[in-house]
Formats: sequence, C-alpha cells, structure tokens
Amino acid sequence: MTHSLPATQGPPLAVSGIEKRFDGFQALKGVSFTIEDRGVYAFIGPNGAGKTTLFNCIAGRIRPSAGEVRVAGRDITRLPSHRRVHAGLARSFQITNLFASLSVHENVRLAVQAHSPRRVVNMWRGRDTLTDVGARTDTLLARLMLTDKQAIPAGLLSHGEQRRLEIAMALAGDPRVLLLDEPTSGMGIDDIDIMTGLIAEFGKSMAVVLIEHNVRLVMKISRSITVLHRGAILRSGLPEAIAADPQVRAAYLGAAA
Amino acid sequence: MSVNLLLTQIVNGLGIGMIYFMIAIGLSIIFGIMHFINIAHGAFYLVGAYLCYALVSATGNFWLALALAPLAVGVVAWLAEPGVRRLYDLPASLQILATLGLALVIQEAVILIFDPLGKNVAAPAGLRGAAFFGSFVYPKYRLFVIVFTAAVAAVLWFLLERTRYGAVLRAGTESMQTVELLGIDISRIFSLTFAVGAALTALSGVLAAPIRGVEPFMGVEALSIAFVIVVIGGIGSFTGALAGGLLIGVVQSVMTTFWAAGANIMIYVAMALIILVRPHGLLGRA
Amino acid sequence: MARFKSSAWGLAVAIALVALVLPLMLPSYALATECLIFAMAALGCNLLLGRLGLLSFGQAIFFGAGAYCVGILSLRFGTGIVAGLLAATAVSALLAVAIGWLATQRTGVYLIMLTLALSQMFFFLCYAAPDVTGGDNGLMNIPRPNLAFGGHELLSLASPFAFYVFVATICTVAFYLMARLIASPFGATLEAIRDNEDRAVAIGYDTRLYKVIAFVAAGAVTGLAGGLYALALKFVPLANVDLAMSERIIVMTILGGTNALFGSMLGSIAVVVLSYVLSDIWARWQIILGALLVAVALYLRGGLASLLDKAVARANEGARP
Repeated sequence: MTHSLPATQGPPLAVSGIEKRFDGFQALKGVSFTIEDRGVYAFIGPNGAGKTTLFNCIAGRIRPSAGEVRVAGRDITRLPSHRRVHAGLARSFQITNLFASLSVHENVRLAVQAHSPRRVVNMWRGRDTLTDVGARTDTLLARLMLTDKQAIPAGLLSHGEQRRLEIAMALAGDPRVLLLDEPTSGMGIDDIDIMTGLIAEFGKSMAVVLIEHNVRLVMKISRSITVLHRGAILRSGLPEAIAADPQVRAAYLGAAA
Repeated sequence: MSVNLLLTQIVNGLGIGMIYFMIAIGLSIIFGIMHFINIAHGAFYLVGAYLCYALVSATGNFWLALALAPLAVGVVAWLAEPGVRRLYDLPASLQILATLGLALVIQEAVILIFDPLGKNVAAPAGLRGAAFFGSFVYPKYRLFVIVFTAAVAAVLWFLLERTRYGAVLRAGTESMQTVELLGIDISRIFSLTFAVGAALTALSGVLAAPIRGVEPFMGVEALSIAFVIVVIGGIGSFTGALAGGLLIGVVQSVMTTFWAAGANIMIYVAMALIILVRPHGLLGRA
Repeated sequence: MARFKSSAWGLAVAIALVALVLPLMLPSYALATECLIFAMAALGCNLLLGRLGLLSFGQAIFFGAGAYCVGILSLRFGTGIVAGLLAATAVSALLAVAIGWLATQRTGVYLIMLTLALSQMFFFLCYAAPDVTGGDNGLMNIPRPNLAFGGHELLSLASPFAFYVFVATICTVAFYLMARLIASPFGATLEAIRDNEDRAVAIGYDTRLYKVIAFVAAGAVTGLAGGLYALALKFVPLANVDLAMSERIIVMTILGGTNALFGSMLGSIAVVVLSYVLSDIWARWQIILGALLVAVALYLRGGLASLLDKAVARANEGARP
C-alpha cells in the first residue's frame, strides 16, 4: 500500500514576511524562512519571543496580519484549518485534544479516513470495510507503539500515550510538514526518551517543525535551530553554532534578567 | 392610518412590551446564571394570570391579586428550586424534555381546576374607562400598566445594577465558578434568582389578565416571545431585555393593524438574523 | 463487514416484526399507521440528536413541508402516490439544506434558538399563505391515489389495511437505510464531531458540511413521514408545522432514546398509544404524559430503548445457569 505525496513543486514549507499585530502589540515582525528538505527544524527562544504565535499562524489557528505561508509551493495563508491538512500540513496540539470517548483505534481510523477520497460520499459501506484505511491505521498504531492499547477509550490513556496518539493522528495523511508544539511538555523521563526517538525518526521522511523548551532534546535531534527573539529571527544555524553564539546567549540571559 | 390610531397602537405596544420585558428578564437571568433552559417558564405567567382571575372572582379586589399572586408564585418557586436544581447538570435535551413535561402538567392542571375556555378579568374599579388627552383617548388601565411596570423596572434596575446581589448576579452570568471562589453561597443565589424571576413573570401574568383575559395556552405563547426577546436583547442583559421587549411589543402592535402574520414573520426573521450576525444580542456583552 | 450488515438487517427485521405485531395489539390500522409514520419522523430527529448531539426545533418544517407537498400535488395536480412522496422527500431535503446551513452557523443553545426561530417563521409563512396551504383550515379532502406504475394500477391503497402495509414497507426500508448510514464512514465521522468538533476539523474534516448532510438525511425522512401523514389523514392541518409538532417529535425521540435507532420506534408507539388510550379515559391525560417526561429525564436518561437493553441483558443472565 502506497501513500504517495501530492504531486507538488517547491520546498515543504516556505514562510515569508509573517507579521502579527494584536491591539497595538507587534508579536511577529516579519519572519521569513524556508525549509528545503526533510529533517527536524527547531524553533526556540525566550518566553514572549513569538514562538506560539508563529506556530499558530502556520497552523491556521490565527490569521497573520501580513505575509504568506506556502506548503509544497501552495499558498495556504487563507485556507481554513480543515483544508490545510489536505495540503500536506499536519499539527499536534499542545494541550491534548482527542476523541476521548472513542477507542484509540477509532481515533486513528478517523484521522486516516479523513484522507480517504471517498470520505464524504461513502454512506453505504461499513465503517470498517475500507481495507486501505484499516491497513494504514494498523501501521500508524504500530509505529507509535499503541497497538496494545487500541481498544481502550482514548480518554483513559496515560499522558505520554495520549501525546503519541496525537502524533499518530497527525501523521495519518502522510504530511509533508509536521508541526509539533512542545511535544514533551508534562512528560516523564521515559516518555521523553521515546518521544525524542520518534521525532528523530519522523525527520527522516518529512519536515518536522518543532517548538520546544527542552534545549537538550533540541540539540540532540535538530538539523537546524532557529532562535526567535522579540518577534523576529535572531539566528538560524547548526545546533553547535547556535549554542556557541554570543548574541543568542545574551538574548536568553537578557530575558532571564 | 390616522395619527391617533397609530399613537394608540404605539402606546398599546409599549404596555405589552413592558409585560414582555418582565417575562423575558426572568428567563434571561435564570438562563444566564444557571444555564438552565426552562420551557416551563411560561407557566409562571399562566399561573399568575389565573391566580389573578381566581382572586378577582372571589374577592373582587384586583390589588389583592397584584400583591398576592407574584408573592405566592415566588415563594413556591423558592421552595421548589432545590428540587429543580437536579436539572441544571443535565444535557440541554433532557432539560427541555423535563421542563416541557412540567409545563404540560401545569397547563393541564389549570384546565382541570378551571376549564379550557378563556375568561375575562375586570380591570379594578378606579381604572375602568378611558383617560382623555385632548383628542387622544386611552384606556386608564393600560396607562396604569405602563406606569406601574416602569416603576417595577426601575426597582429591578436598582436591584441589578446598584446592589451587592446584582453585582453577584452579573459576575455569575460571566462565570459562576468565580462567584463561588469569592466565598458566596451559590445555592442561595440560585433559589433567590429563580424566585425573583418567577415572581416577575407571575406579576406580568396578573397585569396582562385584564387586558387580554386568561386562557390555558397563554403560557406557551408568552414563552416563545420571551425567547425572542432574550435572544434579541442578549442573554443576561437588563437593558437588552427592556429594549427587546419594547421593540417587539411596538412592532407587533403597529403591524397587527395591517398584517398580523407579517408581524410574527418579521419578529422571527429578526431573531434569526441577530443570532447569525450578533449572537450576543443587540445590547449583550460580547 | 458481516456484523455491520447484520446490524442493519437486524434492525430492519425488528422493525418489520413490530409492524407485524402492532395491528394485533391495537384497535385499528389507522392507529398502527400513525405509530409507524411518527417513528420515521423521530428517526430523523434521532440522527441529529443521537449521532451529532444537535437538538432541532425545526423538525415540523420538514414534516409539514412533506405533508403540504403531497397534499398540493395530489389535490391540484392529481399526481401519483410514488411521485408525490418522492417530491415530498426531495422538497424537505432541499429545505433541510437551507435550514441546516443556517442553523449550523452556530452551536449549542444558539443553534437550538435558530431552529426555533426558523420553525416559527415557517409556521407564520404557512399561516399567511392560505392560497397555498389553506391557512388555518388546512388542506382538506386529499385523495389517496392507488399505487400505480406506468399507468397500470398495481395495488389499491383505499383500505386501511393496504395503506398500512404500504407504510410499513416504507418504514422498514427507511430504518434500514438509516442504520446503514450511521454504520458507514460518514456515520463514524458524525460521532467524531459529536465527541470533539475541534479535533475533527484539525484532522481534516469539513464538519459543517457533515452536519448539513445529516440535516438533509433527517429532513428527507421526516418529510417522507409528513407526506405519508397527509395521505393517512387525507387532510393537512396547519398543526403539522407548529411548534407543538416539533416538540412532539423531540419528545418521541428522547423518550424512546437516542443511543439506538430502534428507540424512535418505541418513543413513537409510546406517545401515540398513550395519547389514544389515556385520552379515552381522562381528558386531562397529558398530566400523566408530562409527569412521564419528567421521570424519564431524571431516571431513565437512555430512554425506553435502554429499558429494553436492560431487559435483554437480564434475560441473557437468567438464561445462563
């Protein structure tokens, strides 16, 4: 079973000149970057640097005041949330957001079904009879190590398992770009290790945009790190270069002081 | 239409609008505070009107009815509220089912005690006949209703905007949890609010009785209008309910002379439009 | 796959059995016919409330539109029964596109209020257009055409028995189709929207489209029921479109229970039979109905269908030694 990516040209994610003003406060002052290839791309910065606003502008939860977001060459800046997913952009939520009363399997199956071309018109077949959807669901459950838990209602999973289920659902459409908003927040050490390994794994097949507080995790798996400061990009580069950069240090220390 | 007729219809509309306002404000506060969809709210109006009919028939004293009927309904509502409280946590569909059932029980009980036929209630002796203002002639009782309800509205405004109870209610419409955190006994607030809302609605039933008579299905009609006003004015809004009530009253009254069904169509079109365009109502807090 | 098919077939068999037994228990075919017609009306409401959690006070719009459609076609144009009922279904479905599109602009209480406003609007429109609807008097003396195909008469529906068989067949098919619908991927998506609409949007569903489609399915089956009701009474009263009709359909739906489609059949039979039996004994029988509604809301939240579930479970337990 193949899940071919939509035939597109252009880099997975291109963000140009994103600005966001809230009532006189400029949260983003023209952020531009392009992700050319697969890999994990981390965005860090002190509190209030604009990370979450940037994430929300890309994910479609808020509209930027100016600028443009392109996924695989397609302008998605004004696309409603549900259509961004089909453009190849997937996201996980910072606060766990699942179909709590439905089974783990059904959660994933629904996410996969959303990408089945017959999803709306299919009013006649049984919900478990779309064999391609079933196979894809099983693959995702196995990949996120949730096969054992598939019959349980999602609301009864542990926190770490719920975060993994989130990501299984985000991966359902084989996205070009996966947006992860602090995927390890609130996790125990064991779960963080599992999640770190999984994110590194996803980076091999897609562009992963990661917003994360855990600097050690970021240093370990990122292909590139971008530092945001006061609504603009301060530095962007290899993890080692960023770690050694005096301006980055100053920004963090300045914010802390 | 002559100027005098138009004026008569507008003043009629103001009186009816004030009665609508008093039905709607109770519904609005109860919904705003308890998030309780009370389909049986119209029953307070129905019972108020029938108590008025019974007391006036028995004693011939309208003023007794004006004092006793709202008091009686308010006390019963205050006593019943802890029982009704079980419904607050139910899903909307079950709240509607239960209160629809209650409304039916009360309506049928009224028919059982009286009978299904409409009845007239005489206006109090001093307020029969008409008042003359040059060429403009207007029934005294209807004038009394306007003046009296305006006074009630003023008292209510003071209660809601200038007292501690009112401040708690306004905070409660935003978030009942905050009110609870302030160390206020919510259950007393609930009982009091339910009782005040019920008494106001019963009072409007008493006032309406000499104008429109009493009949067992008047509660259903009043409920429907009250929902329109709550939506138009905004949930929990005093000025919204007042403006909404007067607007609906006047529009209905003036339109009735040309096209009665058209008035109703317009009212519900307005209700739908407001939900679509300004869901918090014309004067509600966004 | 087998299980899914069997569940829809199982429901169809259950409905057919009820349809078979009902006339034996009730004094007339007319009463049994009314039970089946309102079961279909409640079925539409069940789809919206049970699968999506949407409470619509607009069901009388669809029921009334279906009834007026059959009434007008049959009375003025002599349209055949199949064409008339198909037209009723189609007109109600079209109305449901508009009502559903408007109502789903909002959620929660505001959605309920929107359906209420639209329903009242439709009532007063019908009231204000006596040339079309007969206004307060309704449409009277509606002929009930016989079942015909290509000019050949297949079956006379003049007798109450023949008409009952006709309605029972349609009712069984309607329940079967609805069961297929909710068991399909489409139905699964409705449940997801009920559980967490935000998330359903985030994984790529246009949830409003799904809700509107559900409204259309609900409107179609309710309109079909309204069309059959016009033929059953040979009369279309204005009461078909009033708020009390919407309430009646809602009461049947919740009383029967929304966890299973079969609940709509139970709710309809309960209300129709109860009103018939009690109204003979006591003119104020609605006091009992009202008290029953309060009791169900407080003590039997799953409705009558959950009572049936419990009985079956207990019987199974009892069967095991």
